Amino acid sequence: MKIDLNQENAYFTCSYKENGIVSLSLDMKNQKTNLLIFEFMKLYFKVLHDLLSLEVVKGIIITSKRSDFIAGADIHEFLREQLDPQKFLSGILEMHRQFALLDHYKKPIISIIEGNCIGGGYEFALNTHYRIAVEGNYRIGLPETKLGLFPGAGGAIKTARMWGISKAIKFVVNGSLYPPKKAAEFGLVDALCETDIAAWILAEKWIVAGKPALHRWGDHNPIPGGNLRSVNGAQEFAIAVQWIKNKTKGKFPGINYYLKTLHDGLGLPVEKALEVEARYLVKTLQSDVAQNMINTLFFGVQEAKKNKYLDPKLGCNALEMLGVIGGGMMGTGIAANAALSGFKVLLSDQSEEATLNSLKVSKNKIQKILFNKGGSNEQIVKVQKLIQPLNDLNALEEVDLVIEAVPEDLKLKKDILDKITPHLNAQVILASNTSSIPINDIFKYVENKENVLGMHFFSPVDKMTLLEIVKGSETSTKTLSFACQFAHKMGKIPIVVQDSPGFFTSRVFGKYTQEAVLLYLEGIDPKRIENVALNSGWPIGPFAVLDEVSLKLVLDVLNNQKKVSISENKYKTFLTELMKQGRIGKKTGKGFYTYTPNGKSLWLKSIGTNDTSDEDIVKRLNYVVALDSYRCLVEGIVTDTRTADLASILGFGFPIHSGGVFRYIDAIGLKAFVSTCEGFLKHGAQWEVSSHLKSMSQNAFQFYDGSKEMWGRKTQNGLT
Amino acid sequence: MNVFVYDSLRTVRGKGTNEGSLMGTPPVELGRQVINQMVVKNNLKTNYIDDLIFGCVTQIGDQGSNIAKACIDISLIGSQCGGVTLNRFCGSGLEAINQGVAYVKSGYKNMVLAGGVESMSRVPMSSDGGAYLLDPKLTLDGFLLPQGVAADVIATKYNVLRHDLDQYAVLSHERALKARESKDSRISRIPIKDVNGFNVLETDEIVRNTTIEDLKNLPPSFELHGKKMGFDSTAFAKYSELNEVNHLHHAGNSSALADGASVTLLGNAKLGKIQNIKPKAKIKAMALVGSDPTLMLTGVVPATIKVLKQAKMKISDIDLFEVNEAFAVVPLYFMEQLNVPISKVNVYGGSIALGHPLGATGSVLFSTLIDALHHSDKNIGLVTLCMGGGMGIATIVERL
Repeated sequence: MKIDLNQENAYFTCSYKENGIVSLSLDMKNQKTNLLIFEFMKLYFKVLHDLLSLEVVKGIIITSKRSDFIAGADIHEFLREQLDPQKFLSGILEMHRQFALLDHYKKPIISIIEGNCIGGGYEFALNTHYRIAVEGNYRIGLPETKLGLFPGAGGAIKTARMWGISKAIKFVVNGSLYPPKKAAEFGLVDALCETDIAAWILAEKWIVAGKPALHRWGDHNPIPGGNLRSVNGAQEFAIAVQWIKNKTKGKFPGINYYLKTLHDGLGLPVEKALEVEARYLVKTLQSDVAQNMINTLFFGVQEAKKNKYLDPKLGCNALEMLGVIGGGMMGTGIAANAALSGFKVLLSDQSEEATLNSLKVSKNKIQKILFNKGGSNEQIVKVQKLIQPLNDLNALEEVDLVIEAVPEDLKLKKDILDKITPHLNAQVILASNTSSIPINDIFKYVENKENVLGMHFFSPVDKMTLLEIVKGSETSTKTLSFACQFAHKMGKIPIVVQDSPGFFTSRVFGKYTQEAVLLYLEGIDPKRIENVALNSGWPIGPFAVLDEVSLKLVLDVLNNQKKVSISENKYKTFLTELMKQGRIGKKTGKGFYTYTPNGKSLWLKSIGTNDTSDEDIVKRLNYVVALDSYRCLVEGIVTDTRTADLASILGFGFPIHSGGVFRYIDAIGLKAFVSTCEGFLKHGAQWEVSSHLKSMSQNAFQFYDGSKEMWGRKTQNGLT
Repeated sequence: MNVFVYDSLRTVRGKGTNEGSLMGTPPVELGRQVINQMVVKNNLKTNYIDDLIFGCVTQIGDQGSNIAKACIDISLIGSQCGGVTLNRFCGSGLEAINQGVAYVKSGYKNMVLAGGVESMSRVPMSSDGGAYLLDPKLTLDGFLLPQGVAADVIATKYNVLRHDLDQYAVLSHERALKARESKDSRISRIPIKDVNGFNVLETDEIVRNTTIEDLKNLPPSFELHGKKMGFDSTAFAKYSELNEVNHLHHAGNSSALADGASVTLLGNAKLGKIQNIKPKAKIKAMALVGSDPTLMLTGVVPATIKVLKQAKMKISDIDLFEVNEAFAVVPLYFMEQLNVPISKVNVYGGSIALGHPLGATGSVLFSTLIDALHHSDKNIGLVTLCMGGGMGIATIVERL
């Protein structure tokens, strides 16, 4: 049979160049981008076997015609395939076998990476003998653990073999993505070139010079720092495992099975090790945690990104410059974020001096962020220059978006609005950055109410990806569309919620800290409350987070509230009492904790000997949040369960492994959830269960059926 | 007080090499699975189990830090039960059983699990070093040989021919193959599964169809040690009647490196009632001897003589024997010295065909013997193993 050196299929094109080199260009025509798909792999193996068996072919250079190299595995296919785990396992093992067979030709295969090379895409590239990255604005890495998985197509074993145990574990568990320059420094790629031509020349030289087609992770190479059976390797592993245990509390099967993969597999011949890895991957995919996280943090994010308000025709394409009023922590963070996203920013604070100071703070933030990303000095200066001081309010006439970010005080906010509105143009979009004050109250006396809205940014602004967009009573679709697209450009994931005190995230999160205080007042040791919260998967304990937010801010919000329940009153009274004792929060060094340069220690002492079980403490803290989320759903504050799930994780750190508040309820079972809540009614009205929810629980309602949202669908009993 | 054997299970055995199917399964997992099977199969009330005694020879790496307790902690039994790991070389698994019997007999414990585990693919033999291997005080002054050389010396000393050894090895495979295909042998032999519950290894993987012809051309394995490294001369220094060692053992007539685990449930009568299980056998007698360290592997004979004396029995009272096939010469020497017919010895094949996971083998043979007694409707069985450094261990059981 004659093998064609030049050939094309739905996934890639091969063409014979010179010097025995075949160029393989990835271009998955029926896909939005290049993805690691089983069908592609099948063709890849077949074609490469054919080509490499030819005397005339000396090596292969893989590039991509699309903007991504390979953007990752196809998650949909992944979820479909894992329904037959045995077959899925065979599929992965066969893939490893085929890659190993290609190595028998001893001919180099080289990747030139010039676009996102992520997850399964990077694992694919690991099977080539040399990886060259071309400088550019894209990323390389293995983020699988962020979706509850781990790199199970060879990535776990191979990275550990290449880099040694502790470096690989940190890399995989953090799931970081690196720009090409950083990727080269880290060792994700073997070389970095400025241009694709330079990369091609380097690759060509490599092949023509007849460099050996060996893998850095191959059996011939010892593991840096020793394998798991060496004294040093064992120590590295033990330290890393303890680090992870403290970080994750063992809540993530993906990370746990990743560590098992290394333990059981590292130090075995690669082929055997990959089998160990594959078996653990299959198990991971079967776990509820992985499925929950994929549904909320992959599909949920995808959905939020293309949310229904987003209409490019109505968006913010024309937006060049925005004004930020208020130069505190939020204002400077928003300004820095906007500049980094390419917008010009006018920033102002109370006085010219204060404005200059906040400008400096903002610029420092930019410097720090860009430096960590490997940006050059010129780049940093260029971005910093995008922020200018707003000393003359008349300059605001030029901007199409103004974000007010002054402290959470309704009167202050109104005063500021009074001051700036006369200087704005008629079309301007006016946003208030607030975590809890109703938008309708803030903008009560503003004209053009269709152009106003709330933008609840989270702190720290550059790290928190959620943007809670609050729809006022008259906010127009056009304004929302503008805001959603703006969120995109800012690198945020937008959710749109209805106006109401605390909106969705602050209102529901407040229930967590309130319940913690109530538990304390019932006589439970506050240390236990903190520890139990952390062990159940919260990133921060309720008292520590109150200190972060500051008790003053929390009280301001509570004081804004018109109606206060008995529980809320207890909470408010207690915080007020603490404030009187000078316990304000982390900023002043004194709150629930006492802060010293050496760290913090819990100041609050137990006032009783209540021995409520750890299990019940977890339920009190988590169920109260989930129950109030349900009320928000019914009240229409949040539109759907997936949005609420996403916001609960990204907005306030509800235990990630649960997949969010509603998946959490599903995991417990609505019946058990409701009966527990009813049992807690003696602790306050926050535990009241509506008759609607009760009747749903009797019908064993589930908020999800796999990936499908069930809330809002017509069901047989017509409940929702 | 009578001590009863309530059950005795063994895992399938994998090749103890890079090609072995169980290489990806850490030994603690082998132990866990066989323990869990014991619990599930007999519906045990786990809080009545006092201790797990595990034999394990190479106690380093995956097998370091008291692997018995580690197995218990992750098993269905849980951490309220104790765990201890011992090393009596190849006899460890049987030593564990014998200690368990002694504990129950003394009233110190009422019900114990005893057995052993070894993953030779993951933890290579001798990787734990030790004075025996390295300290000149032992190597210079003593007359220790590598076991394979010792086996060759025995064969030479007792005029065993290569053909005899090979023929025995073929028989071991034939018997093991036949047993493997029979339903009976599956009752006490469990497959090893992965984290998904898929079989990693379903059946013993070392045993194969083999013939004298296949074995004929295999090169001797221990000639290098004997001739080049000078261990033959050590033998001559001790046994001046020898002036040559015939290096007859090779990969085909020596026990195979293997991965596996085994566990045996022992207890008094009361505990059997509490657990609502019927005993499969009763322990009659146990014995341990030290033997010639140079020949090293001859301990099975004095151990057997001693255990018979303990039990007040004659060799002809024993219906079936399990004699560990460390090397083919061991059972041949045993049968010759004690005048035992081959029809009574290792009827389901032995370590040559199935593999010898060092620390587990004692319990593996014990489990095999209990099966064999039941399936062939015989009453009295004897299990014996030779051990490193020159030791022999033996136990007699009566089927119930």
